[in-house]
Amino acid sequence: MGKFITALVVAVLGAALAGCGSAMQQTANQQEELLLAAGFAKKPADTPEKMARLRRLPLYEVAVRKKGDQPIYYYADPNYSGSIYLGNEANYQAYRKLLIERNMRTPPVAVTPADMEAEAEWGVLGSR
Amino acid sequence: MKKTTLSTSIALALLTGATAHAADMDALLKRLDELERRMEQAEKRAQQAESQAQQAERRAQQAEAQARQAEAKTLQGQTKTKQAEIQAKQAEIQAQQAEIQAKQAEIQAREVAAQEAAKAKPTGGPEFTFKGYARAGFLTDEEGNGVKGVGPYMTPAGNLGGPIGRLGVEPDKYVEAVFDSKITHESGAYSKYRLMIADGVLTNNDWTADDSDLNVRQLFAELGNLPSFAGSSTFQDAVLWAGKRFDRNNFDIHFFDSDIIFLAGTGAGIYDVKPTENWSTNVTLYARNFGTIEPTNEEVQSYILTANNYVGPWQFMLSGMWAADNADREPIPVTDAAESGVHLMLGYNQPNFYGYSQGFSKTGILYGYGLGAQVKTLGAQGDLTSDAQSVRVYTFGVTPINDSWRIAPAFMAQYSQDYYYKGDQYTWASLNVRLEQPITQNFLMAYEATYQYQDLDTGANVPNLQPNIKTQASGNVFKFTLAPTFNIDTSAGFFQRPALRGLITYMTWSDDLNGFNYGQPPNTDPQTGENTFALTGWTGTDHWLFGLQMETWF
Repeated sequence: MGKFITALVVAVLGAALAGCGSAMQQTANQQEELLLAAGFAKKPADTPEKMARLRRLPLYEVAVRKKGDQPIYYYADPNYSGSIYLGNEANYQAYRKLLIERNMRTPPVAVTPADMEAEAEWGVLGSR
Repeated sequence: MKKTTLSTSIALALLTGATAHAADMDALLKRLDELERRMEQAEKRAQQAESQAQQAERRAQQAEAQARQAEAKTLQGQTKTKQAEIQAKQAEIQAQQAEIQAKQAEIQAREVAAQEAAKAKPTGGPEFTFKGYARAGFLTDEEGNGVKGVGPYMTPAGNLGGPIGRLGVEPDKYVEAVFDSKITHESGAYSKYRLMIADGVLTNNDWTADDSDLNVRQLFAELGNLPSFAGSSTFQDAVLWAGKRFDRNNFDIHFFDSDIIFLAGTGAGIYDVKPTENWSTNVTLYARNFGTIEPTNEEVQSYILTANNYVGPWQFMLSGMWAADNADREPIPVTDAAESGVHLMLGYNQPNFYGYSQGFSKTGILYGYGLGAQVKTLGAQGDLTSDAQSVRVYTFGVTPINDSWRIAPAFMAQYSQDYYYKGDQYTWASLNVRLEQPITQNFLMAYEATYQYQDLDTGANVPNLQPNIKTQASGNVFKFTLAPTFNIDTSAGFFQRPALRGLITYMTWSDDLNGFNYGQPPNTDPQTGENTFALTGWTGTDHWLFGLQMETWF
């Protein structure tokens, strides 16, 4: 009984993880299309250092950090495009408008972890 | 030619042209009459046919007209439908735009109001806030009876902090109410006072005074933004506090109902000291009580001094603890009880799901020695040996899979030795996966599966060891729960509350775990004398549970 249940649990988890990857890629592609259409700039994380910092950010959701008095919006995708998408307030509003036009949910904006806010931490990823 | 004209003409011709016999004439006239009659009938039939044809043509024309009208109406309807759809979409977009504008306006209004309030209240009148947590539900077994000894820590490993997934195994009614009053002064400095009361009962009744644990669990004040610290890069953000509290930086694995760190008691501390730009530290001193020393009635008090450090995504926590004369306390089952201890924790917190997808994840390791071997609730357990050691690892996270599914895996494992008795060894590992499947905006299905392994050995140094006392147990526990759930917005993630749930749980476990009770006589069924599964009273190796539950926080 125990072995059967263990095998069942492993099988279910395996199937869930396999389905997870393709669904996430589809979502990422769709989001990135919207971001580019809204005027976000795509910046590849083309060095190991940039990629390491990218993976410390909120992933696959629009997040915000402050640069002076101005917000910088970004969307980090380390797995599929290996890029970060950067936009300003106008780009973000355009992105929201596109979401509304396509009847898509507008999720809340994530916040950059405090330790990543410092320009020294952030700078290597570039800015708008 | 008309029939009368024809018959008359023929008759005249016959009459004028023929002078034959009268009898022949009569016969001829009869035949003429007959012919005329037939012609009249034929003409009638022709007229009827013509009339029918005209009627049919009229009907066809009417049908065609009706068809044209219907077609016209359909076209009109389609056009109207499309127009309505376009109008509805436009209205929807306008409504959404209006909503966004309203929210932006609201945010601006709040900012302005906050600024105005700050200006208008230089002495900062009290800001009152009320926060809370509550769960209330019941569970029943296959026979319709209530349950006891059931919860995330219901397995034998639960004594050591080894949990199973909480969904579908919580029959208790627990409530926390947190009241804060904050006063902000002209200088920007603030003081905050917190009162938290809590209660937990198992009974389903409304009057519960006889069973109630109603209690004040937090009672403290803190001071922040103090002008005395202004200008110091190390202390300018520091917060001072004193009183009885849960440490601000405690955190848990919700799905296990298990804190990773639960530091609480009465004491004082300073938060958010920044020795360098990227290093933040909290230093606290808490006191707790273990019980009394007989016959002097002297109270044994434990003290926990902690430095909790954050550098980037890393957390490093170092605690020392001591409890004078704890070994003299009676009665406790251990000999050579610990009177001091250390505790270390190293954690890595990510704002994403293991650097791979959206969500969050936390991973870490804890180690404790002596009084620190209770690695979760720091300095709260006095019945540990002076050589007790524990090491615990944990990792958990939350991520959406797609719009239809989200997943929250969690893993914890611990090894302890010389814990309650010299020579004992305990290992447990718990893996829990919760899946949620939003079906509609307000209804989702939640699924939870737990696997727990445990290998428990009290060793031979159990006091008053009797032959019927089980000193070893090893085996597995599986738990599966199905929970149809209603909430206000199922797309908002795992932590959207309130949640109103139905619960169906199936549990199965190894028979070897029945009767293990850490060197104490086994729990048994009073009727059959069979060993039971921990404190549940269940014999055998599996059980079903059914129930309902509300859970909320705000």
